[in-house]
Amino acid sequence: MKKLGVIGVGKMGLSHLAIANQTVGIEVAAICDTSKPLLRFLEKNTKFRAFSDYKKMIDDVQLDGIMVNVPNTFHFEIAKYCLEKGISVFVEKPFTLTYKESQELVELAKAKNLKGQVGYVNRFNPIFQRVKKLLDEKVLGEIASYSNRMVGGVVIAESSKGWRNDYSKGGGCLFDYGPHCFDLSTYFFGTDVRIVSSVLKKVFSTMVDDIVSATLLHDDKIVGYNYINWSDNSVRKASNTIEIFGSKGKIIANKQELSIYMNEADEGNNLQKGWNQLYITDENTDVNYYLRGEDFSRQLEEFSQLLNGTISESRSSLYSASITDKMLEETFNLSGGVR
Amino acid sequence: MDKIIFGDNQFFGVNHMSEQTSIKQSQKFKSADDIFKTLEYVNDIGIKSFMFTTHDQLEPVLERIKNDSRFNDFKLIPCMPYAHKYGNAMVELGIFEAINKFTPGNKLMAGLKGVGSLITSDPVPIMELLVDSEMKLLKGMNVEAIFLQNIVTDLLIGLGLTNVLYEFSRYTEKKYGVKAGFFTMNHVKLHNILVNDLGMVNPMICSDINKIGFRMNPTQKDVEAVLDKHDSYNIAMSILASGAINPAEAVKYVGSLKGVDSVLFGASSPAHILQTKELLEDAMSRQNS
Repeated sequence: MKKLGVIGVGKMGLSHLAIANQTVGIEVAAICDTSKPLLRFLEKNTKFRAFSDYKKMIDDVQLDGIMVNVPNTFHFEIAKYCLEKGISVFVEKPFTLTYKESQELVELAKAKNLKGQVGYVNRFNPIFQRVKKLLDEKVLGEIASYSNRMVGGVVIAESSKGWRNDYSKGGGCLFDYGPHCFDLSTYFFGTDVRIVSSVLKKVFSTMVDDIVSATLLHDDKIVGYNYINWSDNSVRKASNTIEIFGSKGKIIANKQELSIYMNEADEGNNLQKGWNQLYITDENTDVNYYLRGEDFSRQLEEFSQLLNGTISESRSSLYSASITDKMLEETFNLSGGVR
Repeated sequence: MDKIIFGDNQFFGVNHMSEQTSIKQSQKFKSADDIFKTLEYVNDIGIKSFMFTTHDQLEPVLERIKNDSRFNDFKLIPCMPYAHKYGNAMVELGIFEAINKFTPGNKLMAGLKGVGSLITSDPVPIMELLVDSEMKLLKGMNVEAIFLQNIVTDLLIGLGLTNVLYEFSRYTEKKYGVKAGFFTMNHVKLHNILVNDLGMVNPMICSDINKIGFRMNPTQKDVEAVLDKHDSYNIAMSILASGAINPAEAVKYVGSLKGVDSVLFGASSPAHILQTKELLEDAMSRQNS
């Protein structure tokens, strides 16, 4: 049983805490937050030891792993401190705010032989995992291109206030929504990637982008187009849709469903010529504990396996997350500013 | 509790399998009138229980039901809280103002009660205030039971705050004279907590129960084993697994489980509602014989 500390138990942190507390192989030993009423509440009503200073938590409690669920600007500082103290980390996405910092943490974890994972939860979605498997098995032949869309309704009215309208606080569609979308690009098509061109556009925000458009090139042969829009009020919740074109067919997928067009039948994979349809209900979605979807439960099951040594690397590793940060930075730099 | 209960997911574009289906559904039910007409039909064909999340959009619908004598024997089963309502309010107003906004009666007194419990870190008074706030919508109506949403039930399970489940149940009986029920995505864990840890007698549990085992956690087999004990009142939902199973097969599976006491289902068109109702009546009556 590995002992876990959770830093940041606000909205998303509280869900992570509940899930971690029900994950096999992990025991939540301590929590840390800056909100005094929340801490008092949890200290009184749960079995977790509560701290308002993470350094004190690390000094006082013997921990094998720490979840870092704090605002993005503090990811680097806190994750670095944990790694320096010899503790493996799970960091919410994005890994850090710069590629340089992310690289530093990747090197630090390697030098200290510690484990790390970043909260790219899409990698644990059963449909996206199915897509990954199909791509790895070359079911679509040689991949030529893809388009990767993420849309949602976060900033749907004129606003000049709040962290979302401030790059220095991790705001903007590129840095808030973007990580999930760009991470899917590396999950499916690999980390040998560069940004060829990008445009950042504002709709309602005044200081940051609301729409991101970027062209990516993987291995100098797969061209990708990422379109991200957080100002689309027509969608009920954030959704990712990816369309992948290869020499043997095409895939269109989101978190719930997968359409595959095959130029010829593939009997080994039970795919007929023409359109094939798969749904989330066709996949195994069993989890030991469910709160916000099986993806969230499974990403923590994986962190438990990492801590317990049953796997050596997460499918959402510090390295792949650092490449996502690299792409975000390139997208920002190539854009020439918000239009 | 009736064996057949009509649900509300279709009114708010909730479909777990397809975003396109969600879009189509939300186009179909644009106004309170559209929703009311469907409930009129449901009532006409003899489905007398409606289970719903306490959405603001339902307020005018409930008002019409209240003032329509044809609905005198129509039973309402609210599920609370409608989490987005609180989420948005907390972000916009802050936690104290949000509690004030949703507490009924004397604003100052209610506010103090809530703030006091925050200071003493006791979740129970806050829970009671929020239940009262949600129940305002249903004053003077025929409420049969009060259910807790799965996001809340399961969060409380996850954090180990299970005494709140017990207190919720106690409160609905004391204040409103009706039983509490619990939605969950963790049927086996919840059953163990309610029956074995908290010693509740025949608690009501509503969870996904379907032929393909979709969202039956931790596994379909484990859920079936607990259903087989039949020491809880079990309501099956998502019996069609958002359309992955055809209605006849779906109903046959649910009817084969002796531990399933009621079925919660939703559908958009009158034809689908009638078809599912007739299939269910047939299967559930055979289950008894």
